[in-house]
Amino acid sequence: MTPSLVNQSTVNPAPRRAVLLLLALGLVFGTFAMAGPRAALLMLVGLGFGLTLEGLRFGFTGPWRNIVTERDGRGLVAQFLAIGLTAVFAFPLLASFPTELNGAHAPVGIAMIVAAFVFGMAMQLVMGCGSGTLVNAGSGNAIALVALLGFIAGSFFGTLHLGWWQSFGVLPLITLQDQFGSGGGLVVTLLGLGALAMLVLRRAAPGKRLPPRRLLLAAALIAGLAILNLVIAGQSWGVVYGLGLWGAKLATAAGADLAGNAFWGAPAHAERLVQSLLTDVTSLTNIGLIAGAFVVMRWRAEPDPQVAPITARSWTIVLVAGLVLGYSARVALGCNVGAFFSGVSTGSLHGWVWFVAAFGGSLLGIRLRPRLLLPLVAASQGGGR
Amino acid sequence: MSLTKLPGRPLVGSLSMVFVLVLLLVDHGQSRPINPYQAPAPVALGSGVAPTAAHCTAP
Repeated sequence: MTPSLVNQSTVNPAPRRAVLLLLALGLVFGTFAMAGPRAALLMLVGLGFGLTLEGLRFGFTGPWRNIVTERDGRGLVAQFLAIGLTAVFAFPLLASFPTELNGAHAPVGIAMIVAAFVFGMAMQLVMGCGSGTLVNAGSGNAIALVALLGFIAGSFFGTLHLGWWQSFGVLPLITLQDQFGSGGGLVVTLLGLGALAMLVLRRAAPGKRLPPRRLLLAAALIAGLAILNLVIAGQSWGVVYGLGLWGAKLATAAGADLAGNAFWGAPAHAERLVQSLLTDVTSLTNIGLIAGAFVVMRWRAEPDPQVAPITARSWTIVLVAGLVLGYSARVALGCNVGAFFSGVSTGSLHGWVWFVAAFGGSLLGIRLRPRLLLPLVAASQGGGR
Repeated sequence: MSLTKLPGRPLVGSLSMVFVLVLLLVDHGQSRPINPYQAPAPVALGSGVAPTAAHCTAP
C-alpha cells in the first residue's frame, strides 16, 4: 500500500488537530496583538460562524433548493428559527442602545429587487451564497474557491456602479420599528417568520418538516454569534462589504486609483480603503469564517470527497456566476446574511423584500444549474453540449 | 491542474487560507499602520460611541 492510499482514519489525528488549535488561537491572538481586542473578538466570532456552519452543516442555499426539489423543509425552518431567535434579542438591544448599535437597515429599491432575484439565481448555480461561498472555499470545495474569486471581483465592480443603480428609484427607508414600535415590530417579525415556516411545513413531505437536533443547535449558535456580532461591532453580521473591500484593495495594489469613484471617494469608504483590513468588521468575520471552515474540514478524520469534476465551460460559468453573485449582492444591498438574515432580524423591510425576490431567482437557478454545470464524466459520455 | 481529477479538499482549503494570507500581506503593504492607542473599545455596547464601520446595507 502506497502512502497516498493509506486510509486517513488510521492516521493519528492528534498532531494535526493540535496544529489546527494553534492556527485558530494564533489567528485570534495575532489579531489582538495587531489590531486590538475588538478585532480579536470579531475574529473569534467569525471563527465561530465558520465552525458552526461547516461543523453542523448549516447553510442557506441547500435548504432553499431542498424545499423545492426534495420537499425537505428542515433546513429552511432552521433558518427561520435562527433569524427569529436573533430578532428576539436584537430588537430590544437596538431600542435600548440606539446610539451604539445599528441594525442592517436599507431602503427598498427597483435595482435592489432585481439584483436580489439575480443573486438568488446565481447562488444556486455556484451552490453557495455569501457565507456559503466563504465556508465552502475554506472547507476545500474547488468550485467555491473559483466562485469566491469571482464574488470578490463582482462585489468590487458592484461598488463602482452602485450610485447609478440606486438612481432607478428607491423608497424611503422603512423599518418595522418605525411602523409598529420596537415591541410591535418584533411581534410582526416573528409572525412573518412563523407564517413562512407554516408555508414550508405545508410544502414539506412527512419526516422532512421539523429540523433535527443538529440544525436546532446550529440555529441557536448562529443566533448567539449574530447577537455577539451586533454587541461587539455595533452593527449586524454582514459579508459582502468585506469582499468588495478586498477587491478594492487588490485593485489599488494593482495600480487603480479609486479616489474619483463616487463610492470609494465617499469619506467612510475612503477611510476603509486606507485602513488595514484588520480594522474592518466584515473582513474580520469573513476571514474567521474561512478559517473556521478550514479547521473543521481538517479536524475530521476523513475530509469529505471533493466535488465532481466539471467541464471547462462549466468552470467558466462558475467564475461568471461568482462575479454575478458578488455584483448583484452589492446592488441588492446585501446577500443572504447582510440583507436577509440581518435585515429581517433587525426589522428592515428590505430584508423581507430581498427574501421574496431572491427565492424567486433561486427557483430559476435550480432549473438552470443542471443545464449549465455539466459533470465531466457525463459530458465525455455525450451528456454535455 | 487536471480537469479530470480535482485536488482534494485539504489542498484546496489550504489554497483558500493562502489566498487570505496573501490578501493580508498585500493589504499590510499599502494600508496605514494600525495605531493600537486608537483601537476602539473591546465591545461597542456600552462604549458610548456610535458605530462607524461600513456595512453592505449602506449605499
